Amino acid sequence: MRILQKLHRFQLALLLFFSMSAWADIDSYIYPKSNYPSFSNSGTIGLIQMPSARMLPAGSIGFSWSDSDPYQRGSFVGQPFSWLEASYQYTDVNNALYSLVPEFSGDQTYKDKSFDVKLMLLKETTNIPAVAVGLRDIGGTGVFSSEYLVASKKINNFDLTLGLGWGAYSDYGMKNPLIRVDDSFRVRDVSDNETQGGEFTTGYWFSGKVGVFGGAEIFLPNMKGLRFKIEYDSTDYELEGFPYGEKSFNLAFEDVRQPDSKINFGFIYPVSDNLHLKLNYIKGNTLSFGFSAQLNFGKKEPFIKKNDPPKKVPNSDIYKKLNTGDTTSLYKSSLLLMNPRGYPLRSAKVEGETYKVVFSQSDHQSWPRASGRVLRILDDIAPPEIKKFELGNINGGLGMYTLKVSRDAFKKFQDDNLYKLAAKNINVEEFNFDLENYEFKPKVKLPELFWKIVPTAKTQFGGPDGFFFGNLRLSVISELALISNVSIKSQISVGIANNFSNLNPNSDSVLPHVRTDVVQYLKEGQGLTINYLQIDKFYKPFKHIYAKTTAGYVENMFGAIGGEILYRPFYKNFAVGAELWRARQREYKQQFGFRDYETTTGHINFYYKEPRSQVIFALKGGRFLAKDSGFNFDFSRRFQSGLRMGVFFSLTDISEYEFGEGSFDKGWYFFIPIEAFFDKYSKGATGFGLRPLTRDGASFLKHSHNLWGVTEQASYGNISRDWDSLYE
Amino acid sequence: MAIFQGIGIRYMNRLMLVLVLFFVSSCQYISYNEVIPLARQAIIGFPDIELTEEYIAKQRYSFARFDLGKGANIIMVLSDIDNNFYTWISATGEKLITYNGKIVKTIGLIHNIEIYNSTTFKVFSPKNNYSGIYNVMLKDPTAFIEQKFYTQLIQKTDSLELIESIEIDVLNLKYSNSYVIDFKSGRTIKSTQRIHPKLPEIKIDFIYK
Repeated sequence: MRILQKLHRFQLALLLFFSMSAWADIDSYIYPKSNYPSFSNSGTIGLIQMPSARMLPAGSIGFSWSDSDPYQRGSFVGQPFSWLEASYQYTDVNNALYSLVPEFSGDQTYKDKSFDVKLMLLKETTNIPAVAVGLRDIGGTGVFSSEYLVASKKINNFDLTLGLGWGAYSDYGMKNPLIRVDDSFRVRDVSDNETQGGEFTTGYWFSGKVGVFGGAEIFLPNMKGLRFKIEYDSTDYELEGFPYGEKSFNLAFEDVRQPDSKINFGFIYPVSDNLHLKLNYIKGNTLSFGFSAQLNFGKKEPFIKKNDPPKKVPNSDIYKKLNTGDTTSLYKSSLLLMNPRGYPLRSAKVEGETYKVVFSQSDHQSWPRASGRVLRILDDIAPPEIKKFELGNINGGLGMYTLKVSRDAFKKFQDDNLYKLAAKNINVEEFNFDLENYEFKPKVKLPELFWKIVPTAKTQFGGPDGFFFGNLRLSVISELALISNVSIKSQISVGIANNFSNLNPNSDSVLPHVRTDVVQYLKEGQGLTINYLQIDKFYKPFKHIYAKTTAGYVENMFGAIGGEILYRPFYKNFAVGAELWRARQREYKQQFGFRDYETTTGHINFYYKEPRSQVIFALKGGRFLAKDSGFNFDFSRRFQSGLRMGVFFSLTDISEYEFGEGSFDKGWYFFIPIEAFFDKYSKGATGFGLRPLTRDGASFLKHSHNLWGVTEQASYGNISRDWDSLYE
Repeated sequence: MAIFQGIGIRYMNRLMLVLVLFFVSSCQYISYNEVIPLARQAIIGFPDIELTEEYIAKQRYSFARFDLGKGANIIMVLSDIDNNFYTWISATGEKLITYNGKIVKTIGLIHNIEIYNSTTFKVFSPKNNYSGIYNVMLKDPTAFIEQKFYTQLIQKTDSLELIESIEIDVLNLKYSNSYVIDFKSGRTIKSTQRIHPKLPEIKIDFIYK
């Protein structure tokens, strides 16, 4: 009886313990869909017009669109680190014209492109607010230029924000406290920044008077996640944009409505955690609305749990018996079971107690997962006398990595998914593949053609002739494998529908038109085009050294002949390479002909991957397509889901004037893993990148299959990064 | 299969389709396989599993048809009875445990619950109308709540209907569950219940064999 009483007490205590620990999560029900902060009309995380110190989780990408007269603004936000928010804004300024020349831009309104950044200085704790500093419109024309220091603190369901703003955020400003540091902060003089736009001009940052802003985002209880926002707006509407029409800017034709009130308020309605709708009343006289969408790719399986377990080999005991003492049977059953599962067997050999298998795969981003699945198959069918497995992986006929695995150790830790212990028993080495070393060499029918028909699109955003031009196309993408390391790949497409009739050639570039003739390529390439048609050959002449030679129509604007070489030591996180191309510009209609322009382009390439943060730094120095010379810097970060986001910029020996609008080459990109949206594993990704303007300077030849990508798994760091998926 | 798995825009259209579906879905962990039927249902409606005599006769075991609101109807088979706790299991492994026809525990749904004092629920009590508090652990995400309840028994021509009024103060939520009780067997044969704030109302038909 006593025992029963004790048991009941224990149960009660356990219940109370869980109840208390779980109580905090009741907020998830009272304030649902509140996992992400919301966007401001500026296109970054914030209040209504004002910024806050809030940020999306690391690995997130977001898009927002808002209409707040006279601006319609689209914005992409990337969160490469938990402390850095970077965004790109595209603003349609509806009180100004794109240009004064109707033949050039018709009645299209002014388009402003800009970069914003926000850096977290302090993380929020129980007693300390989150503090961030931000710069708005740093790489654009400066019409929205402002800087701010802001703090946000969440108290119950109130997320409070208070900040100081410079530039456009400085209305009713007080004296700048930074004058005490240096008197140059007294005056904000933007007049001496007459440039081609797009420069990161720092001279006037945090200068001039300072405005104070603040507000709150209030999470309303039991209202399906509805949030109410209220703020004191310190925007100086006499500074922002083109406030007084033609008096402010020669292309402006109308005044901006000045505020009747400094208090803005509005609502955020989260349709889901990933989609927010907003409706605001700003300036005491303007209704604004918009939406934002955000996705967090920081986690391994960010949205959809995978339902793609390894397939057990049926009747494995029978296979083991049949394969005992019969290596031919073992080879054949390996081939029979590995190929349909997506791990084509290239060669095999039994050497004493070791079964050596060479395979390739294109279904998994994680090389340990692919290898683990091959090991499971081999363990299911190999006879008991096999004590070790040696898995070699190849790509394009080149050896990448090899795993030397004790069969017992692999099995021992499998049921409990103790991948760390298993990994300690696996030797990972560089793989130097020589087919002649293997007994079993299944015949591959060559040449072999892989092809598919897919819809594709050619697009142009934000040109002077209109905001969007597109050509919907049907493409045949093919790859013809001639021998194991030689292939011909192509994309041939035909246009179905487009709206290119209003597109006009408009390049003002003083450099060779290696990219700025894009309009001609779009207009004349409306019909049948050869997007690329090239032959590639890959080599691994020495340990750590990979090479390729390529010839053909390598991209839609250039044909080229040349090659690339890469030194990538297996256990190091860096690689050094070089590439050299003789390139000739293709005819606008992108069939077999060429134009007159030709050049030699080439670069010395250096890559470094920081293993903990998975930040990749690429530096490429050399001669670009427009015969300018210089360096390209590229920083990107890979997240667990496989998302890669990055920024790049180039500095070459041409002047800002020669480069033209934008001053120098810069941009950003994402590679989004397709598998994030499905419950099956796949290795594909979709790329999206943007340069504010298409210019000729600092242009690379776009040749696919660059060796850094092809040899991704020829790196110990890229294998060990994913040990946690060994048994998945 | 290509020699190289390239990175490109060729999946863009597929991705856009998925993105649209993803954004209109409020369920965080809904699988892609589930997204399509839900989307289709919004346009053309989901076909019902009709409980015809023929269908019922075909079934070998006691079963229940659960209509999960916006999702498909699913059939769950009675797999275990223990102390009046009935365990119903679906073909895909989800489990619902009922007590007198009330769902008191779920396993494998997108959002799950467990009522700790589930035996508080009585179909026939000394008093027809009674009240009390359920201690409920919500899962995914985890939170402990108290549900105040009040029951009312209504006599109909061929059955009894128990109306269970629920109030969750902390969530400012009020709703009613109903249990239709067979006169002869005294068992719940039909019920409409809300079990989790993030799940739609569930309609259940119990078929005992």
